[in-house]
Order: sequence, then C-alpha cells, then structure tokens
Amino acid sequence: MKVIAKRTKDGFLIPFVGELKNIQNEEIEIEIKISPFLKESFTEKLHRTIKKFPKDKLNFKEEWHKHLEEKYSG
Amino acid sequence: MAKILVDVNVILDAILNRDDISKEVLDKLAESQNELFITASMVATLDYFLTKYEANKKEFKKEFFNKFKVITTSGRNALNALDFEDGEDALIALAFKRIAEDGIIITHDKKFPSNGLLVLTPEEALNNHKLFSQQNNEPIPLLDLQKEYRYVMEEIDERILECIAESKYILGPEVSELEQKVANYIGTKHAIGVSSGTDALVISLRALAIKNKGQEYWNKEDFIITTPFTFTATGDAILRAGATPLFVDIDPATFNIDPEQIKKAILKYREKVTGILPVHLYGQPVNMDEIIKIAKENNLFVVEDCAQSFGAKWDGKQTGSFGDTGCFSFFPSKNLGGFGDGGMITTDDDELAEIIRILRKHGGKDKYNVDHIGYNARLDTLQAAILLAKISHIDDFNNRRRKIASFYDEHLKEIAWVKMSEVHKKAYHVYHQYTINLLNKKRDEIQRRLKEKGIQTMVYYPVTLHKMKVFKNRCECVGEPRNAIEATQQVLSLPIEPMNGKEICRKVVEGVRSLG
Repeated sequence: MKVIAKRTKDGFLIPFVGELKNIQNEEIEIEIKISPFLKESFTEKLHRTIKKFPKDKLNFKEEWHKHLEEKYSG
Repeated sequence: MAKILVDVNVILDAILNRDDISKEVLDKLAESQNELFITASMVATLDYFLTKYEANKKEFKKEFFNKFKVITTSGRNALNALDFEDGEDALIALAFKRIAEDGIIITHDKKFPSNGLLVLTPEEALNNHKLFSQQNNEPIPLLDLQKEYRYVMEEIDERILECIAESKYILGPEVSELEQKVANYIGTKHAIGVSSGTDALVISLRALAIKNKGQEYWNKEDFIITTPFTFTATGDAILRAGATPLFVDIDPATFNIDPEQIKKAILKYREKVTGILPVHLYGQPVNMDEIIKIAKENNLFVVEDCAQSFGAKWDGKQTGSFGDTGCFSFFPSKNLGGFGDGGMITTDDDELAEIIRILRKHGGKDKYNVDHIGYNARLDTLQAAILLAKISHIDDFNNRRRKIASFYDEHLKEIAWVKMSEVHKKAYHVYHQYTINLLNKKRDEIQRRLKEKGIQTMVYYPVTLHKMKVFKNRCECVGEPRNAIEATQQVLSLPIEPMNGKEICRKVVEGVRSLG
C-alpha cells in the first residue's frame, strides 16, 4: 500500500488509512521509509527565504494599492 | 507544454503557506515542462511583499528565477494599458501576450483583463490535466527558435535595448566585444565579424589569394578541394573567389570529406591544387590530423567551414583553430544563431586578419581611398549584441544537443533500417543536425508518416553540389562521388531542439520505431 505523507512544520503528516490492520488500537505500527534524497519542493525553498508571515487574511492587491496610496499621497 | 503567467497573489499565497491549492499548483508547475513567466511590471509588487515579510531577497531571487522568466514590459504596452479599466493588470496581460499568443494566466482574480488569454484560478489549473500531462500532442518542429529566445529573453532584450540606445549600429562596441569573446573561445589570435557564413568563406578565400598570390582573385586553374555533400555556399564561395571547386567523395560513416580521396585528388591534379576546404558537417569535426598533415605535405592552405560546428572540437581543440582561417555562420538556426545573418572568421595569421578586415569594409583601410575589390560585409552591431547574450549559453545548448543525440543513439540503434553516423573518438560532435541514413526505405514515405505523427524532419542535402546547374562546367570531380550521392538519397535529420525535454525525444523515437 502506498501512503502519501505531507510535510508540515512539525514533520510528516501520515493520513488515516482504513485498510491498515488493527486500526482500532490506540497505537499502530507503520514502517516508513524516507528517501535521504527527498528534496524540498519549489515553494518550500521559497518559504524558507521568508522570515515574517501575515497573521490575518490579506487581499494582496488591496494591500499593494493601499501601500501605493500612502507612498504617493504625501 | 504551455506558457503560463502566475499572478503575484497566487505566488504569495503559495510561498506564505496561506493556500494549499496555490502551493500545490505552483509546485506542480515548477516540476512540469511548462514555461513559467511573470512580467517586469509585476516585480515591484512582489518586491514590496518580500520586503514586508523580511525575505532574503538574494536567496529568493536565485530560487524563484531558476523557474520563472521575466518578460520585458515595453513603453507601448504601458501606453496601451491605459485604455483598460485596470491598467495595472492589463499591462501584465499585454506584455505576456506579446510572447505568448496562446498563454495561460493563473490568478485568483477571475476579472483579470486577460486580453483574450485563458484565465484559470489555481483550482481550475490543478484540475486541468493537460497542464501536467507528460504526453505532448503538439507538433515537434526540427527547431523551436521562439522557445530558445524565451529561455535567454532577459539577456537578449537587455542587450538589444542597450544597443539601440547607444545607436552605434556599424561596427559598434558589441562587435569588438563579440570578436574578443569568440577569439578566446575558439583559441585564435583574431576573430573578425562578417555579414554571414558565406561571406566568411568568400572573404577568407579572397584574402588568401591576395596574400599568397598577390592578386585579387584566384584563377580558374586554381583548384580548391572540398566536399560535394554540403550546403551550396561552400562551393559557391570557391567560385566567387575565382577558383575551381574540386569535389572529392565523403566517408559514408561520418558524412565528412574523406582524407584518402583528398590524397587521390592531389595525386591527380598535383600543383593545380591550392587549398582544402573541409566542412565540419552537422557539427561533427573532420579528421583534422589528416587534413593538416596533407596540407603541410603539399603546401596547401586550409579554410575550415565551421558554419555548423560552433563549439565542436577535434582532439580537444576547437574547430576553426586548425586552418589558415575558420569560417562560422550565425544564421538563426545555427548552434550559435543570431536574429538574422551573421558570420565570423577566426585566424592566427596577422597579415590575413588585416586583409580580411579591409575586405569586409569596402576593400580599404581608408574607405574613401581603397586598395582592393572589397565588400560591404560587416557584422551588424545589433546581431553582435544578440550573439553576446547567447554565447554564454553555447556550452549548455551544445550539451543539451549532445544529450538528445545520445538518447536517439540509444533508442534507435536496434532498428535495422536506420544507420547512424559514426563519431570518431577524437571528435566532440555538437549535433547541429542529428542525421540518420535510411536503409531500404522510401524516404518521402517515412517523412510523410512522421509528419502525420507531428514530427518534422528535413533532408540536408537532397542534391550534391557537382550535380547543380551552377557548378556545371565550373567544377572538377575525382570520379563519381558515390558515397555523397547515396547520402543525398538516404539522409534524414530528426528534431534536435536543445530545449526539448526527454518526453519530446521519446515521442520522436517512438514515432520512428513505429514505422516498422
């Protein structure tokens, strides 16, 4: 069975897989092989270059226009 | 393989981890064969947010522009954008459409003024399987010069704009800069820009007549040995320099002139033979050990026709650095191609270099008081500017051609009716063409069937020079050049666009294999 695990900031997130044996148990054993050559994705590489992140939902276009107005309205 | 512009809002959502779909679409696009773009006008917006979120701009630039190309936004684009309600986004669409009539814009803004281009949201893009399919159903041309331009677009646009602003159109600084770069690359003392590869040959031969014989042109009784299996310009240049082409047969294994046949020609015509003009056909160097040995033993000049061999090496030494001169063409389809005609002559000989410089500029050091029958055959500054942008990519492009050739070699070698050319162990072939011999097959039929499968092919060359009307009673042959004639009937060149990925090459291979 192939399980796709997504990278999160805390590590890889293993999705719930219904076909696993003993799925009702509190703990299950999954053997995971992670390639040492697993490469960062394009957006992960770009994400790594950024230090601060917006907390609120932003409309970038509105934010950009607001910035222009402030910059050029004196 | 689509041309896709990704809006800043999608890029930011993806890299700031604000939207999984934007992230997934951008990652998949970056891994796909699609060409990705933003416009120069979008960079200001991107920069604002990069600053705001304290990005390491140097690192960001390196990673982001490894995948994305920046389209020049022109003044005319800006003027036209003012006709739209949302001029800012219209400016993006107008600039993008200039290079991508069939382009796709991926944005969160469904009202994006697309100027007729397809607009997709990230979700729609993700569900558009065509964008990420490995299968390519578009026709495969022999070359795709638009794709090559887009790959080097930023550098070319900048060079052109600088050149125009400077307005030194005749022998401007870009010409001497390119001459210096080519001389360094080829490893010769001089490189002189001329108006075409053909003029490079004519001027070289004329300069040798002036230097060696003290006369403007060669005589008809002066024979220059060359191959009949080449583009007409090779033989034509000999005629234009006043001499007679002496055609000798080729080695069928390499398509290049056969040194043994050169020896036979010299034995037959003896002192009438004055020089050898070998052609490094399809980008494969001629056996220059043999050519130079024969030339030295018989006191002959050597003019190398390097029109198809920029970057090719014989025993580690660049073609164009062996003979008295090397003659290069910058015709657009060449490995190093301009946006029109252009050429270059390389030489180590100071005297020849001076005569060549005089001949390309009307025949005199002082153009109002000339010494020789000259030409108006200078390399355009604008062409030099474009070539300067492209020359830094020549090794990359030649490597890509060699990889495609290696893939074809590997996958076509077992087809009984395909015979591939041999590459000498000392030859560094740069595959201006990847050309095969078709054995016991009707070539027209093969070409037609490949065309039906969307694969373009060409025949270089369908007629030997000695059979052309222009050479009738104007050339000599050492017997019938049977190998050359056979080659004209059997050769077929396959797509060799250096920007083609493996999937396209696989389609070409499968197309050929399917013909049984």
